[in-house]
Amino acid sequence: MAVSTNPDPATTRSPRGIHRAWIILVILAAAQITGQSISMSAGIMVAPLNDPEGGFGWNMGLIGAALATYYLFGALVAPITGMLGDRYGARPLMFGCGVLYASSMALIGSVSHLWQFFIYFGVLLSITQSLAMVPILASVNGWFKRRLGLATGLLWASGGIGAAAVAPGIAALLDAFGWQATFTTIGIAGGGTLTLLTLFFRSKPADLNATAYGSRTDDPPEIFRGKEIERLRLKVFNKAMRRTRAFWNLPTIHGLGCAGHGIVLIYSIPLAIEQGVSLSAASFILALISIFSILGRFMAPILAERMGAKPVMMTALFIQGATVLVLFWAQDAYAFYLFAILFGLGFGGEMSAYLVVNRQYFGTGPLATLYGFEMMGALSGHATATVLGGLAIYVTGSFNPALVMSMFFSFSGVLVIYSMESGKRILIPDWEDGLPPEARTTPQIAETAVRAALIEQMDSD
Amino acid sequence: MITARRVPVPLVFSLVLAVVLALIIFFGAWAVSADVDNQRTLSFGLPGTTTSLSGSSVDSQDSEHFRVDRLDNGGSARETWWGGAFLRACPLH
Repeated sequence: MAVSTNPDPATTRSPRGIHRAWIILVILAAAQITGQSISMSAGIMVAPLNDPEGGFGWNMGLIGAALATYYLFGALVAPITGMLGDRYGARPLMFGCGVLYASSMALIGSVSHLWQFFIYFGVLLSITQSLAMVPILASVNGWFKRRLGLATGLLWASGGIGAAAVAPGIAALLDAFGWQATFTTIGIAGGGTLTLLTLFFRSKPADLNATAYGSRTDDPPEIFRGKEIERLRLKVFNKAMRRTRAFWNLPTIHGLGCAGHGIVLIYSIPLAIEQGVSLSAASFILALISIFSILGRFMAPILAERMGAKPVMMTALFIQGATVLVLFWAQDAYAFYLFAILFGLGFGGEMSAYLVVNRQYFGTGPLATLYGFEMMGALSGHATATVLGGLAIYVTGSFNPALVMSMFFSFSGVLVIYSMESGKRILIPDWEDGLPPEARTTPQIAETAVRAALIEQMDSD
Repeated sequence: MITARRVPVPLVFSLVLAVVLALIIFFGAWAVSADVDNQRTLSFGLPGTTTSLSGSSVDSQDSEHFRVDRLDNGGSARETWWGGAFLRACPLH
């Protein structure tokens, strides 16, 4: 058995005196923006791919199917990338993500047949985004013992701001340089950045012989074990997690929340247009939702850490659901804008507190797998919103049933959160009982020897 | 040592899954059986494509109702494999 401890966590601070965890956070923010740029580019790709005058002129239904593949495949691979993150650490996955991002975007730039688009976008970029959004994002958990809420809030807010900047940037590049040059450039820039950042990134503080932000001197030193033991610990930890209700309920809540806001994000613009709002004025609704969601994204994890995640998540989901009521009576642009501001706060808060909740329920263990399942729930929620919203509008000829469904999903999420355990205590404090003694955090192998030595010393005294 | 036991799937999770599937089947079968004579378009928004600030594609005047997607192509949904599956699965249609 290979057990060793970290004797001197002396390199916690960089030469400039900043804790390394904050430097890691900047790297993670860059990865987050790069990952989000993929789904942002999806919206911008539709018009040129569908343009009959352009080089593609593909059928809208087939483009939609390719984008649906992207979301469905993303839902499937999210738990797998999470498991890979827990097993191998986020660093090698960041390198793989960078290489995949560069090659996939370059391939998108060279696409000429629809089947290529299905593979490059629907499969390769889906894996790439999953790598960026699941194991790499979740690795922030290991770097922050305290202030995880602030770190997560900063990550999500930077992702929101970055995404807001990336989308128009990609659109401008497409206008200026055309399809191939745009995606090749984005691929090289984004993939190159991620690959380069891998040099400075570490999966966990111990890889730098450092400690996490907020570690105290009396914290037990991190123990390095052999691969076999680490694998066993991960297996037993995941097994213990799967036996809790929270493991199942958290992805369910994320799914319900995403189904709730997914319907609104898809149909608020057509609804506003139907009420007589101009297309350009209606498009501002989504801009407002995105801008105000940044505040929700930033604040929710911070408040969740201070006040407990349950009330914060319930409030965010309640705001998300209740504000949809405005849409039933909204007639002019300003009513829609008021809705967008309030809804954005709830919508942003719904999505960003999961890493903090996971910590409160399951401690500081390897949580990327759980986060992967939560992302699976989120993407499934979006798929549900798309299908159900479309069907409901078709059969009734009205947006109202879709809005009712959105509220139903959000309020169901509130109820599921309400039914969950308090986050004040860790749900699986005794998970190590399932491990052999030598694989536990405090190895018990020496205990009998120490006791015998003490007895011997007392006898000699 | 934790031994291999059945994974307990909570009631809430199972209930939500069942309700969502029931809703999809119900509305799917309703959509297939509804006699709307092509007066409406069975349409699906594209998640993620509408959350961005991509004003250029939103502002495109030839994009009808924000990139909704026509799937029925004017044919009868009952004759498609998915239309038949919805009708067979739903006890109310």
